[in-house]
Amino acid sequence: MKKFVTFVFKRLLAAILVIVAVALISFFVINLAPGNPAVMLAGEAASPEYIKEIEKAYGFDKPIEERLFIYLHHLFLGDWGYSTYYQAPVLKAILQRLPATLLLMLTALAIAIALGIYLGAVTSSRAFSKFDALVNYVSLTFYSFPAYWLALMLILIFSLYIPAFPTGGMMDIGIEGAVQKVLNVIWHMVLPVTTLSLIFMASYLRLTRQVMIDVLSSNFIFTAIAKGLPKKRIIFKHALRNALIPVIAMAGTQFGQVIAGAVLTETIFSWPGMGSLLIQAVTYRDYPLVIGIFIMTAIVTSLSNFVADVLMARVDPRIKAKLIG
Amino acid sequence: MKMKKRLRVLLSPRNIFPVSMLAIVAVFAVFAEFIAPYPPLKTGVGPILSPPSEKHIMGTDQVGSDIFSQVVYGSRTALFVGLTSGLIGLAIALSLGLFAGYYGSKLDMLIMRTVDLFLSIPVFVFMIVLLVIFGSNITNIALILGLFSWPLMTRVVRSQSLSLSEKEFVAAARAIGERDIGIIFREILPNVWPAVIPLFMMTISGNIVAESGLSFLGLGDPNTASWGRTLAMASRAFYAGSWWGILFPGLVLTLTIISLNLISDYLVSLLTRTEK
Repeated sequence: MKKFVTFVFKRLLAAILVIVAVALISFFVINLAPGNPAVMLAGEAASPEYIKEIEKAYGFDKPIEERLFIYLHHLFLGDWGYSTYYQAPVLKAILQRLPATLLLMLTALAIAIALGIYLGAVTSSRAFSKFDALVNYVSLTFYSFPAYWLALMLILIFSLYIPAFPTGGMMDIGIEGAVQKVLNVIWHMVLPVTTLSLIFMASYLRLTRQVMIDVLSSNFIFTAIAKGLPKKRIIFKHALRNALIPVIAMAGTQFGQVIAGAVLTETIFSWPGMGSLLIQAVTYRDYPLVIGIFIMTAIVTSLSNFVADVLMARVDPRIKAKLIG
Repeated sequence: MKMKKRLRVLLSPRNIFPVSMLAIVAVFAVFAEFIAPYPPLKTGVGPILSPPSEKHIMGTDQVGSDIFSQVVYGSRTALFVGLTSGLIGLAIALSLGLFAGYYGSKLDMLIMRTVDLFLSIPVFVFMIVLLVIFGSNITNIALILGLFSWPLMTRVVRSQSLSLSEKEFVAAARAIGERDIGIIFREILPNVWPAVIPLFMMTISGNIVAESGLSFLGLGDPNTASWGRTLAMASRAFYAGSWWGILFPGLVLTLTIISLNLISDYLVSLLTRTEK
């Protein structure tokens, strides 16, 4: 148990180190940028008075190492600057948009993981058959699909030619009642979630298939076959349970890419999340907001890595032995 | 002899589609001036939003530019960015990974921790930050994509280099007095290629997607034709029914990516088969 606590502590430290590294990177990017670094901290649309204020607040008359300290201190206290585009403090603007992103991402991930694992298990039981080859081909195709093109095609087909789903947004204006609101949001989520889960699914399918083929050739499976257990039960109960762990581990480590997918998908579907906020911030050259979103994605990514690591070590004795010793 | 055999393997029935697709894109890229019927970004070379016709086989966009010409010139941009960034990444990966794996110890630790750090920061968002601040043109995009392409390849090169450095033929080379540099480049490097090349191709395909995505978001080069830029234009003409602007450039992009990944997948399967 003591070892486990040390392990958790070490992982947490690693996560914090990544966040600190990202904060340092932001500081250097701001100071290496062409032009006045104060503009980077204030945004291009900021008034000269506000830039003066920033110069004073961030100690622009002081040496660089002191400025670094001041910058980190501001970040740590939650003062991430003021967004001239959003007319609000950067951190507040981001936190307002974060839940929408998480809702979209987690739904898509959950569907992708469930479908990917199921299809991976089914194909592994018929490994190297024609059916397997077909599924493998299709999954590679979706794996290769640029998410944003899939999104555009889905809008083209299912919103414009067959007007079944909205082209974008999260909720229509003037919807009354809690149930209606939830249903309306789900209706808006269908196309973006389909886009993201089809693309995420491919890698889970491929990984599950790979791991399952290994597991299916281990001794305890031969025992189960010898005992005469039905094939379905062997695959879904005995083998899959052992194959699940690396697949779920991947979910945690993939979160960074998941957020990248969100930027384009959210923009296309005008989903009011962090990704579309980033693109608006880019358009208005609202630098503090851009950098703030970068730091926030790093925080979300490293925390989800941390949670995945700890869960894995808790669940799987093999990983526990490998990681903790 | 060996070359001929390799060529035959590459042209096996399974690979006919991806190889010919990539050949088409390569021909587009090299001979764009001769193939494209119009200057790609010139406005008003045809009617506005014309569906595919004899004069404009992929139709035109809302400023009357020819979409087929943009697809042809876009191939050049895609291949330039993909290859340049892939090669930058490969060069960094080889120079770090070979030495890290061969020498081990502190150098190895330092390099691998840096790899871990790069793999845990949200790269796409960071690239957007850099392009916004340092300006976006095709060279910057290729450079930035290259500077983020090395971590995974380094990891693979390093693990290959590590296991190869313990092989007998390396010990033999050492015994006859070859220097470390010679061993790394003459003994280890040739044996690293098979593991790296599939990943190198995946990197190129990933970077082509990233370039088109960045161009789609308006972070590309406004003065250069790109598949992503064409798609962005078309996505604004959605409601005028411009399906052609979405379908054709996206199809070329997607088929290119699928082809690269299929070949990479095929190379991996060749590799694992010979290992068994």
